[in-house]
This record gives sequence, C-alpha cells and structure tokens, in this order.
Amino acid sequence: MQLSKVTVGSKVLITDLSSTNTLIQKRLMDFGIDEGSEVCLLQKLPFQGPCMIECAGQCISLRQKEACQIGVKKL
Amino acid sequence: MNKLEIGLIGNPNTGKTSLFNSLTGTYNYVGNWSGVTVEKKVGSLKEINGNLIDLPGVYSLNPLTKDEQVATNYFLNENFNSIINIIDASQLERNLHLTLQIAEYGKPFMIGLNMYDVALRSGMKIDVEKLSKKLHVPIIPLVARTGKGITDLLSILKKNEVRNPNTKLVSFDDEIEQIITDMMSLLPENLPGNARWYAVQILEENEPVLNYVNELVPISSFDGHINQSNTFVKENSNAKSFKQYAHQSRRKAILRLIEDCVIKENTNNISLSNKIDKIVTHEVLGIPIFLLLMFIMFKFTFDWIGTPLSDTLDSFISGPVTDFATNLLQFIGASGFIKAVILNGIIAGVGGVLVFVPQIFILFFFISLLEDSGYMARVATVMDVLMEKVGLNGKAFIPMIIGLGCNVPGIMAARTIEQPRERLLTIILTPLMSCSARLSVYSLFVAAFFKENQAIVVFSLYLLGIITALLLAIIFSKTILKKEQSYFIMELPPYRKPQWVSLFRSTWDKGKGFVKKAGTFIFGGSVAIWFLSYAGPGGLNVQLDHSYLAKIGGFIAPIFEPIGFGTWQAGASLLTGFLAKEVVVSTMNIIYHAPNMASLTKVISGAYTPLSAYSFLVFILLYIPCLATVAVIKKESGSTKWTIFSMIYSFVIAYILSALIYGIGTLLGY
Amino acid sequence: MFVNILLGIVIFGYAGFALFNAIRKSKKGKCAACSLKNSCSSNCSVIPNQK
Repeated sequence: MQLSKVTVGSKVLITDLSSTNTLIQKRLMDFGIDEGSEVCLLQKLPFQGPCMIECAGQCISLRQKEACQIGVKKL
Repeated sequence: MNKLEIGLIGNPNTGKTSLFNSLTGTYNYVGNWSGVTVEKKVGSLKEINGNLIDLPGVYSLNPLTKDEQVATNYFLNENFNSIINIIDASQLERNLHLTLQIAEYGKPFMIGLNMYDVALRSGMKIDVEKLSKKLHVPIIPLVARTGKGITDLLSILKKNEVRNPNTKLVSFDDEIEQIITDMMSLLPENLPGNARWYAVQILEENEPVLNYVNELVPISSFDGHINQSNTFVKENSNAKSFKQYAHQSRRKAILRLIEDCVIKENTNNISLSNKIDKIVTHEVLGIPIFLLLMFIMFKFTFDWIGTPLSDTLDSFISGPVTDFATNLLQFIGASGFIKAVILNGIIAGVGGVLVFVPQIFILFFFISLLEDSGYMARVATVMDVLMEKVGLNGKAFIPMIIGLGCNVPGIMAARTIEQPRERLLTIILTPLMSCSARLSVYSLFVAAFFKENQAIVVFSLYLLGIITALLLAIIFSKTILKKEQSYFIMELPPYRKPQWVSLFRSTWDKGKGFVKKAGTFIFGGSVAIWFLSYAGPGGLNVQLDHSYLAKIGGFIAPIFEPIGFGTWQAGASLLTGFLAKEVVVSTMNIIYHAPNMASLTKVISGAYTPLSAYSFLVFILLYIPCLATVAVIKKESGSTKWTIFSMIYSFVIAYILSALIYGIGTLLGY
Repeated sequence: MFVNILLGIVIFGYAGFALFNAIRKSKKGKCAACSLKNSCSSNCSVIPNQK
C-alpha cells in the first residue's frame, strides 16, 4: 500500500522506492531511509499537506504527493 | 609557523555552529533548521594560530543543493590542514555516512562527538576509544552548547595530533574494486586527497567532482567504467544505481562499526517533541498558532518593550549627547559649518537610526528563538501547502521569515531550495518582506499618526508585504516563471530548550550588522545628505527650500503627487532610501531639523495626513530593494536581467498599491 | 581654525570612505568581505551549473 494511505500513528516497512523521484530518493538515502527501513507515520496535514514520518530517530516531513509513491507494508 | 586552516563539517543540526563559536570566540548565525548556515564562515581559532572554516551542514559529499556544493568544492579546491567532523552522537548511523566519505578522502581529520549528553541520557554507551582505533582518528566527546570537551579538542589541534584516517573501511565487490583500480590509473597524480575517493565519487556521479576532474582528464574516459559499474550493480544487488549500492555498502560498514563500538543502543525517546508537534502542526490550529506567535512577537517589539526603550534612547541622544557635543564644539571653537555638520548631520542622521536599535534587537531575538528552538522547520512544513498553491515551496518560508529581519541573509538562505525556478522566485519575492530597516521608518510614522494602534498598523504593513508576495507568486508562476516539478523534504530536528548564551550571541550577530551599518554607511550617507541640504545653487548655508536636496527632491516629487506625498521632502527621503531604507529616517531628521524624535514626529504630523502617511509607508514597504539587497539578488540569482526586474516590478507594485490606498481612502473621506 | 580644518577633513574623509567602501563591497558581494579572499579559489557564488 502507499505511505500516504497509512493511518496516523502506525508503523510500516518501506518496500518500494522505485517510483519515487530521484531527488527524493537521494534525500531519503541521505537520511538513511531506504527499502527495508521501518517508519512511523506521525502526522498528516490537511488539504493534501505534507506528512511527517519518523525513522531511525529522525522526524522528516515530505509532501503527500511523494508519500503516494512510496510503497509500504504494515507491521 | 604557517597559519593553519581547518574545516568544520557535519550534518545539519549537529550543533556545528555552537562548536564554531566555542572554538573561535567569534559569533555566528546559529539556526536549528537544515541549511541555515548557508555560506562559509571564517573564524580565528582560540589559542592556535589558524582559521576555522564553518562549512554548510551536509549529509554527504555528493551534493544535492547549492549550499551542499560549497562543502564539496571546499574539499576539491581548498588547501586545508585538517578537518573537524562534528557528529551527533544520538544519530550515529546517519552521521557516519559523511564521516566515511571524509575518511575515504584521506586527509587528516578528527571527530567531535557532540550531543554526548543527549546520547548518554537516552541510555547509549559508546566505546569512544575503540571507534577511534577503527577509524584511526581522534574522537572527542563534546557538549558544544556548554563548552564541555572544547579544551580537549583544542589541545589535539595544538599538539597536532590529527591523524590520517583509515581509508579502507568500505570495500566493494571484487569487480567494482577492479573498475576502481583501473580508474585510479587514469587519474592524474597530485590530486589533493585519495585517488580512490575520486574514482568512487565519479562512479556516484558526483557533479562537482566530475567537473573538477574534467578540467584535468576528459570525463568521457570514465563513461565505460560508470556504465560497467551500474550494470554490475543492477545485476548483482538490489540497488538500482551505483550510488545506492555505495550507500548500502557504507551502511553495512557503519552497522559493523556500531555493533563493535556502541555498547547500548539509543532508545531514542522523541515523544516530547512529538507531543509539541501534535499541537503545533495540528490540522486546524497550526496556522492560527503561528499567526498568534507572530502577533505576540510584534507586541513585544513595539508596545510592550521596544518602543519604551526606544523613547529612552531618543531622549538620551537628543538630550545629554547633543548637549555634550554642543558644549564641546563651543569649547574648541569650532566653526558654524563644523557645528552644523556634526549636530544636524551626523547626530541627527545616525542618531535618528540608532534610536531604533531596541526594536531591531528584540525582533532579531525572536527570530533567533524561532530558529534555535526548532520551530522554524515546523513552520515551513505547515506552510508548504499554502506555498505550493502559489507556486513556491515550504522551504521558501524560511528565507522570508529571515527577510523580516534583513533581506540580505534571507535571500542567501534561499540556497537550500533545490529547484532553480522556486529559488529564483523566492529570491525576487523576499524583498517584499518588510525588513528591520523599514521598521525604523514605520516606528517614526506610527508614533506620529497612529499612536494608539502602533502594533496593529505595523502588523498590517507586514501582512500586506506577505500577501503581496503570495499574490505575485501566483501571478509570476502563471506567467514568467512557469511551474515545473518541485520537491519538499525536510528534517524536523527535535525541539531544544534555547540556550540563552547562544541565543544572545546570535541576536547580537544579526543586530550588530545594523549598528555597524549605522556607524559607516549611514554616517557617510548622513554627511552627504546634510551637505546637499546645506549647499545649493546659491552657495553655502542656504535656505533649505533652495538647497540641492530640495532641487533634486522637487524634481522627482511630482511623480508622487497622485499617491499622497508630492513634496520635495518625501521625494528626497525616498531617493536616499535606496541606499538603505533606514536612511529615510536620517534624511527626515536632517530635513526637518528636529532636535529629537518627539519634535520630529510633531513636524511630520504637519507634513502628512494619516492617509498619506499610510500610503507613504506602503510605498516604503514595497518600492525598491535597498542597495545591499540588490547586490545580493544579483549574486544569488546570477542574472542581471532578474535583478533589474526585481527593482522595476517592486517600484510598479508599490506605486499601484499606494495609489489604490490613497485613492480609495480619499474617496471614503479620510 | 586649525581644529575646523582637521575636523572637516576627518568627517568628510571618513564619510566618503564609508560610502565608497559600502558601494564597492556591495558590488563585489560577500567574498570581498571575507578574510580568505586572497587564497580562496572556490568562489562560493560561482557554482558552475544550475541543475
């Protein structure tokens, strides 16, 4: 399923980053977030605003548009 | 002994600038949002004959943004003695990616293991000695905010105990290693740093490195190697590019290191930050909370603290200081000319600007507080939705907030925006953010015309600037700067209790620029303007109405007739405002010959009506960026065309809005 | 008399210098004000490519 569809507060595992845009992928990599990483969806802002996720002790915000392209699996 | 040059590098939000301050005794701009240190800062090291260069926060030496390129270019082009790599001990895995790349480069470095207290408190135990042995470099645990560990760090530098690192921490599959060895034979000798590092970075398609090597050896000679490595990686691993493969290999090496040297893992408890975030980034309350905080900030800056202090300062300058100067000049027998230039030129002009120092510093204090606490990053996140709708990026909100203090660092902060179109749009719109220099003009006028409602009137001006910027963003995005693909991804650092010492330091650092400007540029400007008001076609010591200043002001005054202030005084003031917005105040002080702020406000209230005053303020808000801002727009955008555009459009918009306000106001009978 | 001339020179000299300096510095940008400007070859404003 897509990261953007996950309910707030749940933990998921990233399974697919291949459809995300290269720049986002590189940045996620810089943060240490790759396929196989465990993330928790902290907050979703209204009106299709950004999502806030937590991974490896960091809090990252990114647009829902990009979160749509990240494939995850429920834990 | 030669002067040492040492580079300071690390991830964003690792306390790098705190460390910089502790090591150099000079101040710097501390921000808790990724990328606020957007340029190199040079400081003179304490106790050692050398310079410390503060590089922008980067996650890797393979850059994605303009300011990250600064760090990579530093490695490629600068002749430094060693590097200090600052690491956040509570984020070891991520921070070590950069460390390994620095190690691969091969030049001597040492590690400052910062936020050691945070790590310990969260239950982590790091075997620093073991880690140091594995990396071959000294590691000093630090708490940069309090200064713990600084002496040890300095002593390593003093005793020159920085060492060459272990460059062999990350090894790849044999086929890749073969490609690398092959590439190394093609690279020129005498490259600064390890040839292997260059080979790997070329395979990772690191742009600055590619450009650099291309100057020496045509980069096309490595095309084959790049293709080969990518093919191998796609066939033999689950990485989709060599860059990803390299990242995964480094990660494996890092996890091995951590396994060996970190005794207890980080049970990272960021729940307090999360709790605060739940409120502050709340779907409904997020933006109202932000607006409320901004309003409180303005209340402090004016009504509650700023203006009272400012009034006191004004009485001091126009009272004791002026009396003292008058008596002294009398005593030494100075001529009328000299007395006039000092009392009516310098004290009036520079003093007129200095009285606003309290408000300016309070404003800068709050901006520093917003950054230092980590709240700025949340603001960018909450605002992204709105910003995207007008064609900007959430990250653009930060340069604009900084621009409220001063446009110049605000525009430079736009470097962290990855997408060129958004960066350019941010650069040309930031000057619409009402800066602290304009604040001095507002303060003067609101005291004269809107005494009961100072904060609200000023707040309305700031709001007008913001709304105009947003509207223009929409217009520009639809016309001259059409939308392209854009990204928004940001780290939200944990909230931190502000450290008062570093807060005051960063406030001072921002504010001292204002004071310095007063003592130099505005001093010069005041003397020049005074002279233009003193001399005229008829000679020296002429009537003010017959002075050169009046003639020049009178020449352009008719332009401003339709918008409410077609006087030569207004014309002259606006003209001088191009140098620096606060010079408007200096000019008015000189023109109106007022001994202090109270009488100046009285004189001004005779020269304007409340409506024309507001129209004037709106014009000042928007009309043209000051000289320093124009210069930085030119530099950051790299384009004369866009610089001129930003000067023209702002004048046009200012005129239109002032005309609207004055016109409608007049119709309504004000 | 002498005092006047001296003060005049100091004031106008410094004023002119301050103005001249400020305009020169703005033209050159940040790097002009940097203490490394003689040895620095990575002019931080000249990034070769817009990506």
